[in-house]
Amino acid sequence: MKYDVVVIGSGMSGMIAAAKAVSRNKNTLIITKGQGILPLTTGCIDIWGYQVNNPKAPALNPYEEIQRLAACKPEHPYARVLDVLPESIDFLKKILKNSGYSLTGSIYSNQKVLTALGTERVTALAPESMVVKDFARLKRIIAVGFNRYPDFFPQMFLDNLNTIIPQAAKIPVLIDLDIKETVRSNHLSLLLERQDILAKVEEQIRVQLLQHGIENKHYDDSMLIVLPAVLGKNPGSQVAKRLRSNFNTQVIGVPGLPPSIPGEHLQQALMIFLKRQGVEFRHNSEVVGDIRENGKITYLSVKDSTAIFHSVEAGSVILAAGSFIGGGLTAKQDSMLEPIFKLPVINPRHVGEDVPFLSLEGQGFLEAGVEVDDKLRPLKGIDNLYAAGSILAHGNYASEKSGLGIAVATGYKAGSLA
Amino acid sequence: MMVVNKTKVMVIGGGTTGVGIIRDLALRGIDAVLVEQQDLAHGASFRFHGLLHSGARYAVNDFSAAKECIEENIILKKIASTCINNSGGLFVQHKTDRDEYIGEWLRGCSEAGIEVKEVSIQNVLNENPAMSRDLKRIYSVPDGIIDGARLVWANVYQAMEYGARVLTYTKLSGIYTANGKVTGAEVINTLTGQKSNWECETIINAAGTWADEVAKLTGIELNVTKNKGTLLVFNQRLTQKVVNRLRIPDDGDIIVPHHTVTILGTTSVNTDEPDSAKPTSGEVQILLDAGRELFPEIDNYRLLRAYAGVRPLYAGNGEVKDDDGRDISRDFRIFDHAHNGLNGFISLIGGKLTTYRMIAEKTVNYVCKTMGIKKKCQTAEIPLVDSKRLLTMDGKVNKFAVRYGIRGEMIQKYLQQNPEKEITLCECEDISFAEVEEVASWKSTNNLDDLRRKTRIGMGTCQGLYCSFRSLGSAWNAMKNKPQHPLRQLVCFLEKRYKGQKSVLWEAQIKECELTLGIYSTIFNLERVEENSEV
Repeated sequence: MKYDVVVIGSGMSGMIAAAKAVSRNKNTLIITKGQGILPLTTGCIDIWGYQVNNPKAPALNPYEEIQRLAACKPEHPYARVLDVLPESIDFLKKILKNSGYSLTGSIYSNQKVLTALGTERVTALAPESMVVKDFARLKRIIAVGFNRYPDFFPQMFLDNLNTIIPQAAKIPVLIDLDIKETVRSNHLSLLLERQDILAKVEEQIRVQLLQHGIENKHYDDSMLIVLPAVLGKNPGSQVAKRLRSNFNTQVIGVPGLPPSIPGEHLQQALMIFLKRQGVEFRHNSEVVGDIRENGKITYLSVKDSTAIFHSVEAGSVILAAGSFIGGGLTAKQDSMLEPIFKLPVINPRHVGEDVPFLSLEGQGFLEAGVEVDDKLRPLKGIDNLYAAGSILAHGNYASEKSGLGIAVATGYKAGSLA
Repeated sequence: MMVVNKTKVMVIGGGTTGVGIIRDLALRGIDAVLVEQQDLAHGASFRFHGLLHSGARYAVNDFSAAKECIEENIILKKIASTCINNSGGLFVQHKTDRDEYIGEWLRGCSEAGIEVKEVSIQNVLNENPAMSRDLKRIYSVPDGIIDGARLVWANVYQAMEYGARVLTYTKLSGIYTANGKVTGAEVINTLTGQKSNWECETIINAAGTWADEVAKLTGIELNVTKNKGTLLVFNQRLTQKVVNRLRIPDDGDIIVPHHTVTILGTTSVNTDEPDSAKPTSGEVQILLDAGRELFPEIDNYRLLRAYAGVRPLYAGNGEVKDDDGRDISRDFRIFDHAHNGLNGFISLIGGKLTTYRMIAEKTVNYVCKTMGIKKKCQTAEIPLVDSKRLLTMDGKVNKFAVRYGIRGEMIQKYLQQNPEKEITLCECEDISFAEVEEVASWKSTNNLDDLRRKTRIGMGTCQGLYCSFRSLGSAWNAMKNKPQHPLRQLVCFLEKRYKGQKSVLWEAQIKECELTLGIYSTIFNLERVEENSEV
């Protein structure tokens, strides 16, 4: 069987590339080795976090900052996709809404969201379940932990919040669901879908707040109830909405250690859309080689989970295999490789250089990758091969807060051209 | 006015030598205080391979060391059983190793009293399938595996129970003398900057790598050769026993399965900068090359980190023979600075972890003689954890007593009061919330890194990815009242865990590192917290 477009990788860039390709009526296949990196992300779409000329200050308008960036750093992946940037973000929002995962925000402004550590982060698009209306107007913040749940600590969250929202009173609450083993995020997200459990949670919150002198009359928009980001099992979950309307307060879920439930929702939402559009998937499969004719890839050799090799005929190929975590790049003791097509990998900064682990400059190895031209074709590469997402060189998603933004824009462009 | 504290003996340095001495003094009933500039075991006592020597390694080159090792090996297995895994060790001859060495080695072992038995290669390979097929002969020896941090704390907990005082994060800043005799010392708390004065009769300088700096406070020059050893950590147990190369001691000869990981070491090169010693990529290569001869698939195992420790070696009469410190005896020397005109000031140089108890005994014997005290050493008879505390009611070994010595019962009590804290906090090393919360509440735990040395959080495969956040969160009420801001503790902890990964940032470990960065930078935005709130 011949596919017009074969996408390698099922992270954000791969799935957006496939979505765009299928919207152009291309017969599209995704080949994916693992589950993609989205379940490790916050579920927000970070586009550009801080000012190019003053990395300490949050970027007010990510799109403007990226234009500034492209002017001074033309090798950056964003510089290749300026032409499609706003439309790619609109495209993503439309797809996700279609699958029940709605994002608020736009590429023209950033918003502040809270994390499970009690720190704040800036992001362009956030799911409704993370958005806080007006930090300055909050009078009470209630942090809700769960007995035997190891990944959210109400008191730590609240104390760290003191530097961000100093004026609000802060009250920790601990819910006991009478479970005698470790409670995991996935488990909790399923439990909260049950009416009886949710009612129990509500009841315990109300009882504990009453002990702090907080009565029903105090429940209003100036009160924020914070849970770990485990609000429901699927992208269209109503758990957050239900809690909001029952309490008549603001309610959010804050992201923390993986697995991230909002990240899983984001992934599910994209999957649902792609499957509905007829994109095919080969899961647990790895591209191990290719056949080329006249400088073009004609066939990919694919190894499936039972170690059987298949030949897949491809019109064009989008390489969206990710960075090191995804396996799109591998590092050896003295070199870095792109293992599928053996594309040259450049490492603009030295590995292991003396930069603090956490710094504004960011770790250099994240900037390693494949270099591409304005059509996202790897340099000295192959005519019908495109690359997208974190496999691209020169971006630094951790320090720039740009990961999914780059993935969406480059995936979209690759899917438009392939 | 500054408060003046009184004691008889002040011990400087909280490595194995210093804690061995404070325990010895305490068990003899001599009033003493130990002063350590950082946390206990921050130096070579925890930055080594974890091998409890049988002495076989020294059987040819350093006979007296071999003899001391086997004597102490037997004593420590008895008194420090909670800190030791009595795994046994193997000496393996690779096909490239000279046959002539074996006769000499066997003779040395036999004379030193080290029990050596030739074992069947096939049996060893069956038990350790990752080992090379190119082995000619294998001998078993009574080597063991010892946890340096556990040993240090077990000594200190017992010493404190016998009345000793132990001050960590406290640096000696001056020594008072009168009429050519030590009368006291000024110390400074490095976390708070607060100074205090002590009256004492004797100061024992057991600062190891830093012993020359301590001596310098009195104007005395001390010659300490600082010898860096680099080690690699793999994320699984490659063997069940300690494996030594049967040849003249060289780089990368020792492979120790330590808890859930394996340590491969060491190299040996002199250094001038003990505080910033770090592994070089050349040393990593040397170790991998040596390790590959015994474990051919070594490049396919996941390398978690590389780290370096600095051995304080005795440099003879100030003469260092060459750049490779291995020729110098690792034996220790006692310097009585009465020879420099200062009575009551003693320095120690050298020694190995395996013989730490004996060094302490000899030192305290000497000090007692100079002070005219007649009290017998008891450190070889009294175990670090008595059997009443070590065994549960039904005769099983109490896990918490193994991990935390006589303080294990405090964890037990905390767990009884908070049964929901039994759940696992660190999946890599199987550490519960109860352990982390109780240990964090102890006064001697000043930050996450101190917590690591006591509990082993951050030491396993994930290198702190989950457990640093969870430890800080679960023990938040304790950690937020420590001298260092809790988020600053988190940043420092992650930085130190990263430091060891830097020189092995490839294959699986670069993925792990990216994931950790993804969580603490991308999700928690931790680098900005530091910038914005002057944490």
